[in-house]
Amino acid sequence: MIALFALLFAMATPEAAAIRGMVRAQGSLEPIAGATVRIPDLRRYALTDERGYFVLADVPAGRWRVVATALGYREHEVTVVLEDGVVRLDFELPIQPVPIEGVTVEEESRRVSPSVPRSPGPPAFRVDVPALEVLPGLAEPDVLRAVQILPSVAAASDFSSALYVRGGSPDQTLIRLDGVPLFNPYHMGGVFSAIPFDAVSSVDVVPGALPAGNGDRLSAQVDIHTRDGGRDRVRASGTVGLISAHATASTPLPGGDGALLVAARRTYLDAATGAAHALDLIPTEVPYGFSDVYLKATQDVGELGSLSLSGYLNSEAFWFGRDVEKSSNMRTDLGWGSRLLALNYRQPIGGALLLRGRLGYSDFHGDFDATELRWDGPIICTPNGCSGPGEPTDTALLFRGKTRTRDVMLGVDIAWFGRRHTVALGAQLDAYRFEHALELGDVSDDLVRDVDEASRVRTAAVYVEDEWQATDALDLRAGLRFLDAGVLGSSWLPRLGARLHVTPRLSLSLGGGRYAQALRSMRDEESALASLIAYDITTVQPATVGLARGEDVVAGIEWESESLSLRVDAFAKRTRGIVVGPETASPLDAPALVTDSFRVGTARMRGLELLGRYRRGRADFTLSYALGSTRLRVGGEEYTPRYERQHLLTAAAALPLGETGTFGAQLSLGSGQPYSPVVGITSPFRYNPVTGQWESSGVEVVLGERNSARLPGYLRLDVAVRKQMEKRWFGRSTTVTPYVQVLNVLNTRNVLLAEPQPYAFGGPKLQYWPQLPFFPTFGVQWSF
Amino acid sequence: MELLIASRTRAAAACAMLVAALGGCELMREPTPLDAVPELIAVHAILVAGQETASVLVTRANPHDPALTWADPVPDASVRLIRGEQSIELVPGGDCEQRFGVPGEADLSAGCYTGAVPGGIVVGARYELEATLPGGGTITGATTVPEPPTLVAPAPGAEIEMRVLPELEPAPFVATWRADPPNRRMEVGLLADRQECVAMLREDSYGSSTHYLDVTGAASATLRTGLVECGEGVPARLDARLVLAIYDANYSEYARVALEDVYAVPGNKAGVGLRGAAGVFGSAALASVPVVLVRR
Repeated sequence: MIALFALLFAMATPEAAAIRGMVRAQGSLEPIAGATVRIPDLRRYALTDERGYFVLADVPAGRWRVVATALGYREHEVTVVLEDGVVRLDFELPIQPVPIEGVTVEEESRRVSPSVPRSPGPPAFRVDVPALEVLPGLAEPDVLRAVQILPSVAAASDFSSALYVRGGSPDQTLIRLDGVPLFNPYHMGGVFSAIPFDAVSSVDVVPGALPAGNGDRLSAQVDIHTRDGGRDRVRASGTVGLISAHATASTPLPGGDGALLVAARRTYLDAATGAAHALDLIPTEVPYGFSDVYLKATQDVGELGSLSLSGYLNSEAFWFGRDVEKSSNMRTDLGWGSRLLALNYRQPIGGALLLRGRLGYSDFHGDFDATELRWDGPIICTPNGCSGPGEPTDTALLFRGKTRTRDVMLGVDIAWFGRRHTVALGAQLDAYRFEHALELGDVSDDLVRDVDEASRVRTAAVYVEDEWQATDALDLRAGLRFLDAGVLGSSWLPRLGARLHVTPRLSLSLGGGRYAQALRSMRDEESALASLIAYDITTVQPATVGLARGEDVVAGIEWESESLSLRVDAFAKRTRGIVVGPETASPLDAPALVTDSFRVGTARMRGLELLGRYRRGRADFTLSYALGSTRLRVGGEEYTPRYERQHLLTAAAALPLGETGTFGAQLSLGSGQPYSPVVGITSPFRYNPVTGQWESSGVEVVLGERNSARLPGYLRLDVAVRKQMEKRWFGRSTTVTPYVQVLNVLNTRNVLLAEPQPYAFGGPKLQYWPQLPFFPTFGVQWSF
Repeated sequence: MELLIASRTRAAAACAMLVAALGGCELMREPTPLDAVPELIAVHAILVAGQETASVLVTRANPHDPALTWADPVPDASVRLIRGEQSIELVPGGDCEQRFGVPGEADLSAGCYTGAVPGGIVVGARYELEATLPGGGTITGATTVPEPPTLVAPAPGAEIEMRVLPELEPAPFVATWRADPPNRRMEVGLLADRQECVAMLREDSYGSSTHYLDVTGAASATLRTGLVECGEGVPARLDARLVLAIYDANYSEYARVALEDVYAVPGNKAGVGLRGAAGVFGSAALASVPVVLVRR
């Protein structure tokens, strides 16, 4: 590895000229990721990375036109005269003007839509987060919900933001924020994500055929790239919504070569309901609160280098007020959240090398205590609350739990840009530590059992990868990653990719690789709670199982014109060493956490995905369809996991509504999720060894083959209407955008799961648990 | 174009709102009845080592049963117990009423088939069951009778404190035993020698009394007597037996899968030791020791 680094440093000075620089947004000077910088006469191009940096290496001497384009920005063209050496060329792209009726914008017709980075092999999806702001979301725009529009990604339910990518469970997808793994970025059990929307610039989703530089999960990697903040002036924006408010502010650092960005959000659900309860308007307060804060400081270092320090904190708490304490005889103190600290450094060296380093800390932590309160004397409850004889005289433990997931990581990558080759190599060290404990007192529940788990693992990964432009029409990628996870074993992980440019608009891609994973979630995907709660309780793979491993192959077709882009992917994937829970018939009997009692299985997934996007003026249509199949094999049993939807179609539209309004809609249609059908009713008897008699034990339903039937299909339509207005507040021009949105506007009765009720009045019934009903929300966004 | 799109958008939005209003705010889909689901035939039988009779209960699930037994008897079946060359026809009646007639519950004796087993149920022997239902259909099963456990403590005639009032706390006693294999379902209980008396047990860590306790996987248990009742009053000394039962693999699995507090059982586990029916065809071996319950 050291020798390879030395070799690349020796190659830092190219023989011919190189053009390198940054592509930024005009005005704010924020970097633009995924912009294309082309030399049309040479048929050469480069893509900017997440920092807006690009390199066109080994360019022959001469006079060349260089064109920069980016989605949502006007194209910019310059002419450069090259002799030799390294030329720096920065672009500042103006934001695309908003078309107004009767006004023709000539530049629009020249726009290229680089929504899909043109890497060799099946490309990543890049989710342009700000562009999705117009789509309806629960309470406010949501980063992970936006990702779920992609055909590769599915949700377990309306209540979970967890990402199920190409049939893999959420623990098989690595979510990174600023290059550092992020654990459980959720609020309200996963109803929405805890990532500040305004702080995010884009999200890259690699759902398969991962390059060698991508992390060690079996299914996918999601990289959340954050904004730097404006470098020209103080900017601020925010939203006041139904249950929370958030604000984002940025300011240039002294000297103008850096920026500071702060984003914060807090719910006022607890405060509002507390005040209403104090005024006797509602019978009780909602004893739940959440908040999240993100802070990032970016400073230019050297020529084109940068150093950024970012921190993230999200916290949630649940408690009982004193009235509830007395009426329930229970005192709770539940708090949990995640934290992240990332230090990123990058420095181009010469005209052909780029060095990147990152140091990170990330954790998820929670403490859960509940005690039963005992009073001497009566407690009197009225509709206005309960009053007791004072402080409780005694307490008894109901449950006490804690969870700790921690990762300290260090990574370094270096890339060498040649005329036809881009060689990258790097290394990453992760030190994971997990502690999970749950002590049950006077509560007994088969779904939750005592837990006492403490484990740690250190992983080391190194990789090398070459992206080779073999011909003008063929790009190839070959990489090799090596993962070592101590006692869990090690694995060589080859990664391959190819892209054939059939025409300038049409390309074919093929890729695949091997993957390994040292971590697992203790969450049992077959448990009913997995449909409701997104949090992963992460731990190490059992030593007896070792690394979970997998392979995939992905083939794709992409076609794009100026206004329409289409992409079709077909994939096949298999994984093994998958830890699943003990055998239970019903999700309602499955323990929430898979601890010492587990089974080990394999999985096979395959599918076909379609993503189309059509843009014309301010109208933007996205159509996403996925046909998928996932089969788990555990012991002698083979079944489809409960979260799978065989067909999933999502259509999203953003349409102009007058000159300053927008109408957004999102329609989701899916086949029903699997469940185990009831095939019979029986009456079990219990033997009494003392009397020799049988005793009735009620009736039980008998379930057929696991998950062999399907719940009713899924249909949901969300709509949103926004109206943008310009105001002058405090001497500043301020944009104010009130919005109204309705989730599940058709009030479709989507089914979460089926609960057999053998004792129901009138005979046994299959009760459907509902998903999100008709749910209107409103709020106002502002920015200056 | 934009004007057209905007106009269509407004129409679509209006339609969507109208549909939503008509839809109301119904939160829950109507429960789906399970009328079409068959109510399964169930067979329950435990052969007890050393006993000279065998009984088999054949029922059909009845989730609407007002008597809360949740089952109807299935009469007129043909039931045979087979051990090697030996075949025993079990006939309706016999001591089924005593075995299955739980006070307050429906009388299932019409579905109970009993027969004498010459020489008694033999430890280590394999017994097969064949039942032909009146409407057709055959049920088969097999069980191998387990070795009885050995009760090491308490010693025969040991005095054990009993409580007759809930607030009194009797002294604990330790029961120890040996069993092979040790992972089979095991239960321990108290049987008063006087028919009108009921003696219950409770484990040290539990507060409630029960007729018998699940002690699977343990080699000993610290026990206390639970409530003891004799109708007219509990005597100062009451002869009783501490009974320890070990079950075969069938009943052990049945207890694990079907008798836990579960919503449902998987189809392949609904009948254990049986083909063609739900329930269980199992066997048990008992050990017991005489003790004296003493009021303090």
